[in-house]
Formats: sequence, C-alpha cells, structure tokens
Amino acid sequence: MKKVLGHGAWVVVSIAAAFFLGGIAMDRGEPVNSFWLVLAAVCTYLVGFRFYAKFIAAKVMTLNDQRATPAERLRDGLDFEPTNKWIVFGHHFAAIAGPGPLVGPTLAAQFGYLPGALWIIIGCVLGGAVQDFVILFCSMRRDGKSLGQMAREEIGKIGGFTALLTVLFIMIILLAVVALVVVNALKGSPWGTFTIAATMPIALFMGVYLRYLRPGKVLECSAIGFVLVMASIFGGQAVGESATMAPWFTLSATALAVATIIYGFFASVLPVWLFLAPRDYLSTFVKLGVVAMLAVGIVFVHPALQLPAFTRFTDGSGPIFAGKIFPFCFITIACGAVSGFHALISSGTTPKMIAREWNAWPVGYGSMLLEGFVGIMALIAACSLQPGVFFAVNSPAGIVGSTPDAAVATISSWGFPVTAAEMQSLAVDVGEKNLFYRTGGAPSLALGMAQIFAKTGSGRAILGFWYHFAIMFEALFILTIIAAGTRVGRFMLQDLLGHAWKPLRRSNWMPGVMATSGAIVLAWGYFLYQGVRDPLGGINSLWPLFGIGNQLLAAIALCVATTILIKMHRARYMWITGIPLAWLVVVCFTAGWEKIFSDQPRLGFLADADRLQSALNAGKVAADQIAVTQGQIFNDRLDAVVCGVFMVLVLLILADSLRVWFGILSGSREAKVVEAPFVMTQLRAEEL
Amino acid sequence: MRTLLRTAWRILLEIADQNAYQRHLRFHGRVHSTAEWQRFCDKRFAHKYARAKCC
Repeated sequence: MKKVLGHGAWVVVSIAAAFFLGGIAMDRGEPVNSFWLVLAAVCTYLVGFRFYAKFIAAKVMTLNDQRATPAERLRDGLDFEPTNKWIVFGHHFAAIAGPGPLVGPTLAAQFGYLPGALWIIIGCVLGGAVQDFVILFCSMRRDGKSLGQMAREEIGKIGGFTALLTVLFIMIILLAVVALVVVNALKGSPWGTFTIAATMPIALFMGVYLRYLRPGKVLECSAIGFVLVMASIFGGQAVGESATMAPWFTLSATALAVATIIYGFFASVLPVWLFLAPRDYLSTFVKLGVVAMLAVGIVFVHPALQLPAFTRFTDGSGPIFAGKIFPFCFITIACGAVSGFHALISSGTTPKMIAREWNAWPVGYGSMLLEGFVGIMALIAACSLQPGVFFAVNSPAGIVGSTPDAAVATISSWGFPVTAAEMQSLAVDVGEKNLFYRTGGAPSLALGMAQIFAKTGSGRAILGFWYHFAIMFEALFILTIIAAGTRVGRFMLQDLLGHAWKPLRRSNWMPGVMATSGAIVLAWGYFLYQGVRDPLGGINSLWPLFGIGNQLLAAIALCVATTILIKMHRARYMWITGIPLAWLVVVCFTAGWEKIFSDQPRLGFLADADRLQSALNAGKVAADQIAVTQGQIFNDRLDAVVCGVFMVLVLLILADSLRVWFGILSGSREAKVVEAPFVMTQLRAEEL
Repeated sequence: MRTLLRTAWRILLEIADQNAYQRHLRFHGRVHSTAEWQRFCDKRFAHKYARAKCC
C-alpha cells in the first residue's frame, strides 16, 4: 500500500511538472506569476532527481555502498574524511554557487523569461547535474583525482595538458568579466564603493582575530564580520550623503578597474590567513544567507513577471549582448544550467568527503539542481522589474544613447516604455545618482532583489538599504573569487613555468610569487580595462567569451566522463554524457564561430575590427580618438584569438577522446579501467 | 525541525572548517592551542586555496 501511495505521489509530481512547464511555455499576454516558474522548476527537478539521476546511479554507475570510498580508505583527518551526506551537500553547494547563476540569467532575460527558464530547468536536469554527478563519481572511484589528472590518465597526455591550459585561459577571462560586473555596479556610487572598501579592513581584522585573538572560532569571527559589514552599509549611506566624503568615494569605472587590479595583486600575495580565508568564510555565509532570504522572499511575494515570454531581441539585436537566442542564450547562462567549473569542484574536495557511494546522488546531482533553482530565482528577480527599467539599467550608452532622454526614447521605441523621471525617482529611492548604463547584471539583479525584499513588509523607505545590501553581497563574493582565482592562476602559472626554471615552482620564493601574481593580474586586468573602455559596455564581448570558455570546459569534463563510461563497458549508456556533450560542442562552436567571423560588427570581433580599421583608413576618426580606436582594433583581434584558442584546445581534446573511443569500441584498444580497487567498507552507520 | 536545525548548524561548522579542526585534533591526538590552530590552518589553506573557486 505504501509503495502504491509512493508511486501515486510521483505520478502527481510528474503531472504537475508537465502542467506548470506547459503553463509557463504557453501563457501569453497577461503577466505570468513567478510562482508558476518556481513550481515548474521544483517539480521538474524532483522528477529528474528521483528517476533520471537514480537510473544513472543504479544502472550506469552501479553505485555500491559496500565499497569503501577514498574518504574511508585514505582517511587523514584533514582532506579525506567520511562525512554526513547533508553536510557534504551543503559544503559542495557552497563551493559551486558563485555569481554565475545570478548574473547569467539576469543578462539572458533580454530574450524574455521563457528561453532562460527552460534552459535552466532542462539543461540542469539533463546536462549540468549529470556532468557534476558523473565527474564526482569518476573522481570518487579514483581516490579523489582532479579533472586534469583524469583527463591525462583516461584520454592521454595531450588531454591533460590541454585541460590545464584551458582552465588557465578560462580563469583569466572569468576574473576579468566578474571584475567588470563589480566595477559597473560601483562606478559613480559612493555608497556602494565605501561599503565594499570597508570590507577590506574588516577582512584583515577578522584574519588577526582568528589567528591570534580567538583561534578556531570561525563562526564567531564571521558573525562579528557580518555585523561590521552591515554597519558599513549604513556608513556607506552617510558617506554617500556627505558633501565632503562622497567625492572621495565617487570613482570612475577606470579608477575602480585600477583599484580592483591592485586589490587582486595584494590579495594574491598576502598570507591566506590574513585576508583571503576570513573573507572567504564571510562571503560564503552571506551568500548562503542571501540565497535563502531570496527563496523565502520569492515564495512570500511571488511577484508577477513583467518581461514577456519572448522579447524582440531573440533576433540577435539585443542591447545587452548581440546574438540570436541560439546559441547565445545557452552560453550566457552557464552556471545554473551547465557549468564546466563545477567539474573542478566535483573532482576537488567533495569526492574526498563522501562516506558512501550512494551519497554522490544527492551531493553531485542534487546540489546542481539547487544551483539551478538559484538561477531561476535570479531570473525571477530580473524579470519582475519593469522591462523599461531593466533595459535602461543594462543597456550601454553606445546602444541607447549617451543622455537619459536619448536612452529612454530608444528603449521606449522598443515597446518598453520608461521615462527619465521614473529612472531618476528610482535612483533616488536606492540612494544612487544615476541608474543608466549599469551593464553587467549586478545592479538590475540588486534592484529586483531589493524590490522583493522591500515587499516582504519593510516597505519602500528602505529600498536603498536592500539595494546596497544586494550590491554588497554580490561584490563581496565576486571580489573573494578574484582573490582566490588570482592565487590559483598564480599556482598554475608557477607550475607551468617551473618546467622551464625550477625556482619558479617554489610557493615561498617571493620574487617568483610576485612575478607570477603580477602576470596573472595583468592578464585579467588587461581584459577588464578593455571592458571598461569598450563603448558597448564590455559585457557584450567578455561575457560570451567567458560563457563559451566555461561551456567548453564542461565539454572537456563530459569527454572525460564519456571515455570512462566506455571503459567501464557502459557504452550503451554513453548517450547520458554524449548528448549534453554533443549539444555543448554545437552551441559553443556555433557561438565561437559567430563571435569570430560574423559580418555584423556588434557580434563578430573581426568584423568590428575591420569596421574600425576602415574608418581609420578613411580618415573618419577624430585625431584624439585614433589611439583609442587602434586599441579597440587590437582588442577585437585579441578576443578573436582567445575565442579561437578555446575552440582549438577543445577540438584537440575532442579528437583525442574520439580516438580513444573508436579504439575501444572497435576492439583495437584495451578498455583499461584505472579506478581504485574494491575494498569492503568498515564504516558503521553511527560513525556518520 | 530540530534535526533540520542541527544539520544546518553542522553544515555551517563544516564550511567554517571548525569540524575539520576537531577531526584534525582527534586524528593526531592533540589538544587545542593557538599554535595548533595555526598549524592546522596553514595546512588546510594550502590545499583549499590551491584549487579554483567556482564561478
């Protein structure tokens, strides 16, 4: 009877998933309530988790709780430790949830709410969560090896080296683009800039507190840090309203970019305990808290989606970034649907904490579903804004016009009415001077979140506080990613250059540390500077580049996963990773090709370079703009080269993988599984 | 509800590395001290921040 009831409940959930998905897909005209979207996502995720993921776990990977995991066999009390599955779940989710699932869906909302919503829901169930789950399983069966190590061992040396290079290049673009998001959120905003600047001494204080004053009291220290950060938001308001102080913290995008570059360098070379670690603790707790608050807020307020299901920009003429819905919706939303970076986490700390093999099911697959839900919430926050406001905030001056009147005229002509007075009133409400041209997604997301939080009862009077709270939350963890990413990039560069000159490999040799940190900072700093100076706002060129890179990293992970499935004699199930792989290859290579070779200057890097070169040759560029234009031409060509390098690197891995697959499937190559040998578990249930 | 809150608290302790520190003390049979915490952190952070953070 219990079993029948159970089956009945799942039939109801499945029908509900189909009903709600159909509802959001078919509804036109009246604004759709966001609750439909929430229910569609939750029901689909539940069905995917219960049936598809369980099928993969039982039939394809044949998870076995009798088999000792690396956490048990290699237990060292530090990294390898059998841990309760829900704790690993929380730990893993905290590690994979970054700014990507918040910013990507916000930017992709230019197509309307439906394309992004369907991609987040379906892509997550069939692609992203599968990738995370299978890579976690593969790493768990290989003593917690990294993606690069697995690529080297399972595919070949070319695969391993290429994976390392790809990660390094993608990281440089990632750091540049997330830094650009912060710069665009803080430019001309003394309130926001003061708040974020205050987080630096707060982190240093926390570092000293934790190291010398109250060693080991991380939660206590983070709580103090949180109180100080909240105080800095109120301090920021006072600074923003002060005629004396406000000019000090009213910085241009260029000045903020330089400050971010300097920050990245020092954050990378300072001792970890002093700055990065306390900041990381604080930003992780704030991130989890805000995600939970947003979930409660959306359920409580369930705002109507103001943006239509599809906008006119599906044709590729979007103001936020150029390109048609296919392929650009699918690379703009990476984290939240499919993210290659997750493969690095799934083959990092997590496999070393899994106590039972079946725990990989909720941890690997379930955590990604939760991240997909974060993406849905970000999409709701963005789409619940008045469309005219959404486009006024996110469109660059180069597209909509450089004055507020010109901008509102352009945006209203698209069918999204907005007035300069409305924008000014909103800016005053949130304590800003101006909300136009704040490209990057963070300010519009903060606006959407602030409006949701304000509707929970606190009222419009403290909209400014909520807006700056949301900006603080986004900037805090983005700047932590910049600090950690620069450091990791430094290690990778030290490792690569160490082959040529051994002292560079030593992490305690300061000249080497300074030189490699400087090189990494200058690399992403260059792209950041390029984005800041770009008349189209930078996001138009950098975000697609990052999206292509991230999805190509997912393609590498899926190549490794497919290779391992074939070696495990599960070739009949290779479609599980093969279909998402094929989709990502088609999407990324189409997007990459268009970004390089499209004849539309807003879309194609080379076409834009040719347009500018022609203008230069024809003498149509003013004398004081010649150097700037030459710089833009160089940047366009550089972006084209970076995009091409991504594609070539992934082609190499794909070709190498295909060689291995055909070899095994045709019988000319041995299907040698290199997983750790079976050892019976000795763990007792009460130990977990 | 109590189980849920207890699990949430344990997740926070894990993210804060406080669980890992207790495991470290147990595993090596040591007692808490400033020097021990610093030794643990140096080892823990060397691993933790050598890996990419997610986007």
